[in-house]
Amino acid sequence: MGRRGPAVRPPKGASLLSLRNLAYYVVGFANEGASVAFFAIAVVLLAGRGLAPVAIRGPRPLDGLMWTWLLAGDLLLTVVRNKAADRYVILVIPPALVLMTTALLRQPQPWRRLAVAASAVLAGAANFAGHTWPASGVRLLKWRPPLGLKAYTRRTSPGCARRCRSIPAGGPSDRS
Amino acid sequence: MVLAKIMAGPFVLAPSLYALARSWRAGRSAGRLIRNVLLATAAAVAMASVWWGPHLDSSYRYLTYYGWGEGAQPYDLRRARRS
Repeated sequence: MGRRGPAVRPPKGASLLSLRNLAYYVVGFANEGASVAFFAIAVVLLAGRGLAPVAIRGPRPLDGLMWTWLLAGDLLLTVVRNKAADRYVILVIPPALVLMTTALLRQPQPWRRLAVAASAVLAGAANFAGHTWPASGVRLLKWRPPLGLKAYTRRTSPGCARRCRSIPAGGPSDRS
Repeated sequence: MVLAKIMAGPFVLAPSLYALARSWRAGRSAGRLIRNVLLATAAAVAMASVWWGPHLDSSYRYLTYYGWGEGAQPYDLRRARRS
C-alpha cells in the first residue's frame, strides 16, 4: 500500500464537494491501492453489465453487497476530513477485487476471460517486481489525472514536515 | 474486520444494512430476521469486545480527533496550503 507520510495538499483549499476531494481516493485507489494497471482492468470489467445501480437492485445479492461496500466505503473516506494517506483505500479493495473476479468469470468468451486474467497476472507481477526490486527497472505507473488532480503526488513538503511534528504521538500514520 | 483496523467498523455498516434490506425484501419472516440479526450482532460483539471493550473510549476519541477534529487539520484538503 502507500508509503507513510502525509499527502501534499493542493495549492488551494478544496471543499467537500469539490472534484479534488471527491476524486481523492479514486486517484488513491489507482496509485496506491491496486496500481494503475489493475485500476484500468477494473474499469474495463465493471464498466459494462456490473454497473452499481443495476447491481444493487439486481438479482445477485453478492454484487449488490460488494457495490454497497465499495461505494459506501468511498463515501465514508471522502467525507472524513483527514486525507492523511491513500493507503486507507485498503478498506475498499476487497469488494473491488470480488467484483472484478465475478465480472471476469461472467465474460462470455473464453478468450476474453483468458486475456483479462493474463493482463491481471502481468499487472500483478509488475507490481510485485516494482515494489520488491526497485533496481529491476520495472517502473510503477502513476496516474496523473487532469483537472488539477495531479496535486496528489505524495511527498513530504517542508511545511508538512513542520506541521507533522506538532501532531501527538500515535497519529494516523502510526495507528489507524 | 473490525479487529483488523481501528477505523474498519463503519465500513461494515452499509453492507450489513444492505444484507438486512435484501433479506427483508426476500420475504423472510420478521421474527426469524430479528432473531438472526440479534444472533449475528451478539456473536460479532462478543468477538470484537475482546479488544474493543477496553479500548472503546480511547479509540472513539482517537477517531474523532484525527478524523474530523483538530488532529485532521494538517491533512485537510479544505485548508489552504501554507507552504
